[in-house]
Amino acid sequence: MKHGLAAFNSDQHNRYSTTASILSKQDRELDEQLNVFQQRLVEFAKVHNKELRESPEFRMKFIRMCASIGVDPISLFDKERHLFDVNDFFYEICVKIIEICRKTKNLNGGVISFDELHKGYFEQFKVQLNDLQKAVEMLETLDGGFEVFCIRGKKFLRSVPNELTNDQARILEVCSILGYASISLLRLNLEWEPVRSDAILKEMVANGLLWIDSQAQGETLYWDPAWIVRSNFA
Amino acid sequence: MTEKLPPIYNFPPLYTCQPNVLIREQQLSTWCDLILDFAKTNNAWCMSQEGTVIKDSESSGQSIFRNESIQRSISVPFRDQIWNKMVQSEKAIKSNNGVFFILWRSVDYWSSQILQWFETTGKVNQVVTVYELLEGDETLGWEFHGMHPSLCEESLQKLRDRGRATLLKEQNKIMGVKVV
Repeated sequence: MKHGLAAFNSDQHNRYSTTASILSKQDRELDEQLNVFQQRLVEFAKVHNKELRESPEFRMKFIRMCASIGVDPISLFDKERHLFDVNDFFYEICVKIIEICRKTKNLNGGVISFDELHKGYFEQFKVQLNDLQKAVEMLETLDGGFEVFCIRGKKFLRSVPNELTNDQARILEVCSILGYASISLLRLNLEWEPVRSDAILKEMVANGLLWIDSQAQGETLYWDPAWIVRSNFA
Repeated sequence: MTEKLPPIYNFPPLYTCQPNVLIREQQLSTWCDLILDFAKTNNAWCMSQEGTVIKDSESSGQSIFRNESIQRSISVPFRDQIWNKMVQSEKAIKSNNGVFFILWRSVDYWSSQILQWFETTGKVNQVVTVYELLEGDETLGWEFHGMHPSLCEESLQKLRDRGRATLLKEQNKIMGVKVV
């Protein structure tokens, strides 16, 4: 029992706490309803798989509806049961790959490793590395400037149209060991003259493929931005 | 203080101003994100131009612009570019004495949080001092508890502009507020 002015406050306090509890209850209920609806939608897709597969128009409308209530189309596909047309699954991956390449272009100059794509973005959707590879193959047929190349056994995807020269690829190869390249490092490993190394390194900086680090001891280092992701998963 | 920052904080070239314009834009916005992250995890409202956290009008601790573990630091001109970008993108406010208020939430967000506090605790139509609002026991657990008074003034002025608050001033300083 409170006395004095405090006695008036308790009632008011109760009123606000009931409002708050009603609001949070409503919030929870809405969440549940949305979850149920999403599940039903996935079930619907499984039952009407055949119709969805046969009528592209129906399929488009269905996918659009899913996207608008927050069901990611990739999560709808079931490779084993060939839900929808199986190619649609890969088309969705293609779209995602293009989006990611666009988004990270200014950071990495348009060169991204398969590891980064997979670990950084696709693993959460249960997309396997070989699904990713198949999708990238489909992208190549579009002739949109996407190209796969290998550096020390690791696959990379290049999404900008300017092709990597042999020399540039070899510099990226050196970078994949320590994270950076430098004039003396290239001289030791590839026996390149400083003039040649300097020209190519500067060009790669201009293209956004490498970042300059002028605070290292002795000489300027040129870093590959792929280092950031590698150190993240190390 | 900088341990929780993302791995890009240890990327050595991040501390050299990049010559490629597109990359530099990316670099500047990366720095902005790092500063916001740093201020938020350290609960810092206010930072000096040198990049240290200011608490009770004294700067303390290490500067975000100096990374001892990889022996790199940001040059003064580049640091100024970063602050310019912070102010331009409304992620920081520069105060008269050269310190920066870091807006890991927008001023609008803070003013609506304060308004919400007044409404949920039934303080509408009562005079509350700025000290009570920022340091009092009744705001414990609210995000704006412990906020820098000058930043609080900015937020309260937003409320006044919306016609929701009357500000009580003494010697040109806001001392109290009444929310209506």
